[in-house]
Amino acid sequence: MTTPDDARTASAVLTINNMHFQWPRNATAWHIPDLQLRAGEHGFLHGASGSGKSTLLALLAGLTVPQSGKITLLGQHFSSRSRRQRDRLRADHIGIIFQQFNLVPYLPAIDNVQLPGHFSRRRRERVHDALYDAARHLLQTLAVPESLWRSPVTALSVGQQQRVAAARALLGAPELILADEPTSALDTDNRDRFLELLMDQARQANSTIVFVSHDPALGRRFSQHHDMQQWQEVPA
Amino acid sequence: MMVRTTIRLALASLWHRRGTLSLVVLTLTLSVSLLLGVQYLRTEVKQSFVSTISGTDLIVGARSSPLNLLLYSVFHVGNATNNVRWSTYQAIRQNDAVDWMVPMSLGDSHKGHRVVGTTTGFFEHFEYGQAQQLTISPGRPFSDVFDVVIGADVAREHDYQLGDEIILSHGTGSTSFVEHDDKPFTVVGVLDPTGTPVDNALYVSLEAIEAIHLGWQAGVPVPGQTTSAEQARQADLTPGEITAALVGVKRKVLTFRLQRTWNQWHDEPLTAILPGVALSRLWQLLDGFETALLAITGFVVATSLVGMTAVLLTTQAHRRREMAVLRAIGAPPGLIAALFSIESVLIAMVSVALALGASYGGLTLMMPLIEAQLGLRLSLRPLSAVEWGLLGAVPLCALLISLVPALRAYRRSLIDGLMPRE
Ligand SMILES: Nc1ncnc2c1ncn2[C@@H]1O[C@H](COP(=O)(O)OP(=O)(O)OP(=O)(O)O)[C@@H](O)[C@H]1O
Ligand SMILES: [Mg+2]
Repeated sequence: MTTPDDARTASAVLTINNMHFQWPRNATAWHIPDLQLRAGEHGFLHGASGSGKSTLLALLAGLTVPQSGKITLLGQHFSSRSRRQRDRLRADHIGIIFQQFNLVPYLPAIDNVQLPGHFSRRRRERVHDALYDAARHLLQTLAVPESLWRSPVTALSVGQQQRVAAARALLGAPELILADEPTSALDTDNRDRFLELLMDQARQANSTIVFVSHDPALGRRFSQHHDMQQWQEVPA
Repeated sequence: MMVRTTIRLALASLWHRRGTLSLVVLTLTLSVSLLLGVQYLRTEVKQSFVSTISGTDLIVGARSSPLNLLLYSVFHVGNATNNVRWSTYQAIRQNDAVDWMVPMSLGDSHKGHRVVGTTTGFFEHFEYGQAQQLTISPGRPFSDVFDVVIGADVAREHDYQLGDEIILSHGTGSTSFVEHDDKPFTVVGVLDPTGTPVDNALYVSLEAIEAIHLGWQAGVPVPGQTTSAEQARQADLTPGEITAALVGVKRKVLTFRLQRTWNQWHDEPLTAILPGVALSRLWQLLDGFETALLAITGFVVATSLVGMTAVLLTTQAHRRREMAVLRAIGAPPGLIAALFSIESVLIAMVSVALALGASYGGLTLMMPLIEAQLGLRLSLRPLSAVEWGLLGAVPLCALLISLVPALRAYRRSLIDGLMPRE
């Protein structure tokens, strides 16, 4: 028996219903009544510092769970799953890009990009077990010079590191890509190029992006816009 | 897949931090080498010590403590307080249970090496180690009164060859003794090395001991009574007394009875000991010391392990980012924890492997020194089960102690969310 509500969430990549969340020992609380992203739809999340943008991404990534309400990922009631299942779902379906220091410092770029394939069989299979070739292809597309693929990641510029991180998030075409201010350490040129490449690749993989940024100039490329502050419940 | 990935990550991370970690590996290697070395030497020295003499069932001498008798007769340490009359020696060797008996007369020396007056029976019956016999090459046992057979170390130290003439000294101290310079001895044989005190001694006949003391009274030469070597040869050289005797028993079951008989000898107070038992007793005196030494080195290893954990905990603070990245990619917290444990165990294993090499290298270098200094011949042998056990315990302890950083990483990776807050 499927309710109309279930039918609606089935076609969505991500749905949030009546969710309440609060960090332990922290008065700030968030309430998100309703949020939905369909395949290929991209969300732009902005808000003041401390308004909970990273917090929401941690919830979407299943690294933490809401006190009530539900988060649905690809039709699965994500937030009620066990920690182990959430880790699995994250590995299989979600790529994450941080603001900075995205890379495992002791692995060269090419190995960093292949890493998700080692944690998720699904993403490995999506590239037909050719992790190395897929990583090469992504690094090429994201314009990371081949001479740097095997150097220590610390030898890469910040912009290059962010593109390697994007390549890693994109490997094996996960359905959802969470990006937490990935361009804030980049200059305008680099920022635009990065966003261009990321959205291009996401379109090809049919991935949905949730993109966090302070920079309203980037917002126009996204189909949905959300101000984090509207969901924030600051104690009186 | 996950296990392989974890190990690969651990290896890459260790290699990445090899600069810092090499110091951890160094301390751990040194301490494990110490532990292994102490344990190895302890058993080897014991082995070598206990096999200083074998094949001899009893040692008999004038009444003294068994330890003293063992020390002066076998190890050439210390002196006999009394001697055994020759007549008593003759009497006790009449016992039916006696298979062979080799008398020893001590009290003279040559450049710090003890001189032992004995019979050629010594070369036949004396055994050491696993029933190994003495061999003379080059040369032969003594036959003339002024023949001397020398130990391997004596020959090596003074570069003595067959035919060399040497002078014996009276007494066993290291200074101011009277020399028997009127009666030089000729080297007729050099004993092969044995790794026992035999290497450090010189062997002459009982008659020789008599001959060099002709015209002596109360341990000093009587002025005007000197005899030449030729005169000595003609004199009656039957010994007046001996210091001790090595005894072989016909049937081992008779050993204790013989020992009892001699310990209660009516004519003269005697002490008879079983060298094996006496050696074990002597070793037990040292046992407490070497056990303490092993315990101390054990603590040193434990300290190094704690040091390693301290380093891992310190680096952990810098690695929160890295852990958050791995979590974001989908690594379960168990993997994060395992990373720390695997790293500890790998560090320990590398250190143990290096320590194994270092110990064997160190032992190879030290063995000639130990032999020269202590007269103990040690051999390189494969490790015993106990030693493998000690080595195996090191990574195991590393694993146990690594649970501290591992569990901490586990808990943190759960509460850190997406952004570790330093
Ligand atoms: N792992 C955590 N545990 C407890 N409290 C947290 C945790 N992460 C964030 N918070 C708290 O949640 C609130 C929102 O923080 P968050 O990092 O989500 O803000 P943000 O919008 O991403 O800010 P910024 O723009 O500075 O990145 C802050 O008060 C912060 O202290
Ligand atoms: Mg943030």
